[in-house]
Amino acid sequence: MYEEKSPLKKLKIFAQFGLLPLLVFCSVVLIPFLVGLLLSFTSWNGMASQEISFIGLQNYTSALLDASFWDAMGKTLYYVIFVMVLTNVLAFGLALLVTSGIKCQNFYRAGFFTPNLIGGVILGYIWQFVFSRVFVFVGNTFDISFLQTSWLTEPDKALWALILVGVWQNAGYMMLIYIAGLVGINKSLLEASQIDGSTAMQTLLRIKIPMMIPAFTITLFLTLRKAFMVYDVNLSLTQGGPYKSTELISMHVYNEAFLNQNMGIGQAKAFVLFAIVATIAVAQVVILKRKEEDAL
Amino acid sequence: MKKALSLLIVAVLLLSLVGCSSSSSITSSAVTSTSNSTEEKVDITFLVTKPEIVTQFEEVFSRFTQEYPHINISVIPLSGQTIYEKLTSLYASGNAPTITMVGGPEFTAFKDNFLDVSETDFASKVYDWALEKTTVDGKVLAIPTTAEGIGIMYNKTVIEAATGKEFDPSSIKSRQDFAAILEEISQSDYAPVQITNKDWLLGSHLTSVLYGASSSNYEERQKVLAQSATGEYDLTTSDAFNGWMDTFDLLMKYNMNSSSPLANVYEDDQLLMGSDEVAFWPIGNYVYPNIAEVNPNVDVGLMPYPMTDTSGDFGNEEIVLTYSMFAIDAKQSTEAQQQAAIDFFNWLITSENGQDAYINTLVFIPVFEGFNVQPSNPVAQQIVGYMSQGKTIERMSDYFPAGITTEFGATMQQYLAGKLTRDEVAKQFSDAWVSFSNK
Repeated sequence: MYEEKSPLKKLKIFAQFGLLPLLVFCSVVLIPFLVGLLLSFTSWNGMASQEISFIGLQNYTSALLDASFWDAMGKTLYYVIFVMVLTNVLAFGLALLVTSGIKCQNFYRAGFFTPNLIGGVILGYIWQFVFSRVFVFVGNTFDISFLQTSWLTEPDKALWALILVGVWQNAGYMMLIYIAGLVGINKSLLEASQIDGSTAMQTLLRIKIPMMIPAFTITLFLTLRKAFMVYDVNLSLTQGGPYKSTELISMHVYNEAFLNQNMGIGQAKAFVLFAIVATIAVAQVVILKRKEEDAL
Repeated sequence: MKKALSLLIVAVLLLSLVGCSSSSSITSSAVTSTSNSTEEKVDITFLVTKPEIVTQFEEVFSRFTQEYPHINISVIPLSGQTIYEKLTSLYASGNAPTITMVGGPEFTAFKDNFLDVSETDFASKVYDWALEKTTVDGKVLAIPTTAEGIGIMYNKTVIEAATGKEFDPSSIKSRQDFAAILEEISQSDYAPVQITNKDWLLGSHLTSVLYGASSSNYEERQKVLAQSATGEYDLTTSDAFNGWMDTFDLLMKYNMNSSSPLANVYEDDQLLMGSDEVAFWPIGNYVYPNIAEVNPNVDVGLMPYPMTDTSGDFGNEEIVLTYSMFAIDAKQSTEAQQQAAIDFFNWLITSENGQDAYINTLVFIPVFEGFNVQPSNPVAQQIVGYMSQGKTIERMSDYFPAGITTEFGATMQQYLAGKLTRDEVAKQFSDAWVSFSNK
């Protein structure tokens, strides 16, 4: 390590190594964020030519008083909870399976990961076909009543269709992280537990899971964020329908800003969403970090 | 050396940032002469907002370029966005299309950006009644693209096979007549009605029938909208609303998909109509090219959506007439580009080849005088007939607040699925009016 003496030299070093990333960060993250924040205090409707006037917190009050906003938020929370739990349970199960030494496990790893390589929009269209044609066909052929009408035409089932597709898409990726966690566990710990005569279940609960808390921190954070921000699958699978019953929060914000032409209110809603997601995500990471320290 | 390099990179980056913000317009010299050969190459862009006929547009552009080799037109597709979203982002990024196709609401929002075409040849051909909507302060800012009708599509082959009698759409003068023929068809093996459950159809096209038939007088209709916006217009006691809902109930009663009315897919609806399996379908003539593709011999037509039980009432013999518009950008295009766009429309509307392309390639229905070529497809001829007899209803959703049509669509989907009563529909409509008008 070397240390620079004069402030000017420090500045020069910073300019050489730090200025470019800083500029990029400012131009693609910080400035748009601040401009967005600014817009949420204006009456702008998205038109380039329109006069922009400041209206204070009015957008925030109308955003917070909008029942449809909280309605979309409620549905999103429901979606997030199920996607988060199911994705992680499934991913963890798959990870255990493909590290247990079964035949062709590398093939299974690749296979389970594949859905993650398909773009959300295309995936939505594929599943739209599956739900509205394949399932209905199967339901009619074998007389299975809950498959006979398309899931996408009933509000509750349509939301579950979204959840299923979300889980299917993300489980493979989370599985990879869990595999890394499982493989990274110190072999001597596992051997010691075997010598002490612990059952497979005891090993899992007492050794593997506690040693994998860092992996859980990452996967829970990723699934939480992905589920809250889901838009592509929502758009291509249900378009918020039937009758707006599956309009999740990102879509609600987008529609408010661009379809209803209320850029100000849309921005305000986006910031409320940002605050909520940031709070939940930070809380989750802090709690799990503490667990990590306990485990070590 | 390293320092110099890093400084250079920083400088380039800063410059590129500055470059983005400055306006990119007015780079090539303005050319105003109209002779073709001496002009330099001009590239213009065209936002095509009808995704189903992008290839037809491209064909028309290549025909145009054969006669005007110095002008190259490239298509900007809508790519799944709404017109409003697309135009907002194109204008905000300084890449406004030279020529835009807009609907009524987008025209109102973007009209300050459009070129005054009052003095051009092609604008003088537009029917006077069609110019009112696009004239602002005496300036014509856009011209109609094509006339489109919304009503109930009928399949003559099916109806005649089901009833054994010849079918004349003008024999249906009221809801009673319509109910009688539906009942007759339901006794046969054919399906009487299909209802498409798309929100643009239910919430925008069909609600245009409702608000358009509320009065034959322009001022009265505007009053209805103004009262709706404040919540004073009571739908439950409105004749237009009840008549409209009565007919909708009738359609629902004979709907072939009534067991799960939200499951049928729009593409399948087109197939069924094209393959002569269903008699009536509330829709617009815009779907005709797709049906003709399924079955070139299809014998379909468009009739009004009946509003009352009494023949002769307003709405029973009128179809909703709607048209989107062509406009030329005035803010971000060079003069040469604007001139090229004007050349294009003069060619399309006034030259023989252009008219041929307009009628036969784009399958458009002219809202222009002096066309030597007339549409050959039967539905288009019907619409020309409705226009010439003045039996048209104004497309009212052009005046609705932004975003409300998807709300109306959601309400009607719920009604279609049997989840709402008529009073609840009225209440949801009224609430939507108030909340969307006050945002």
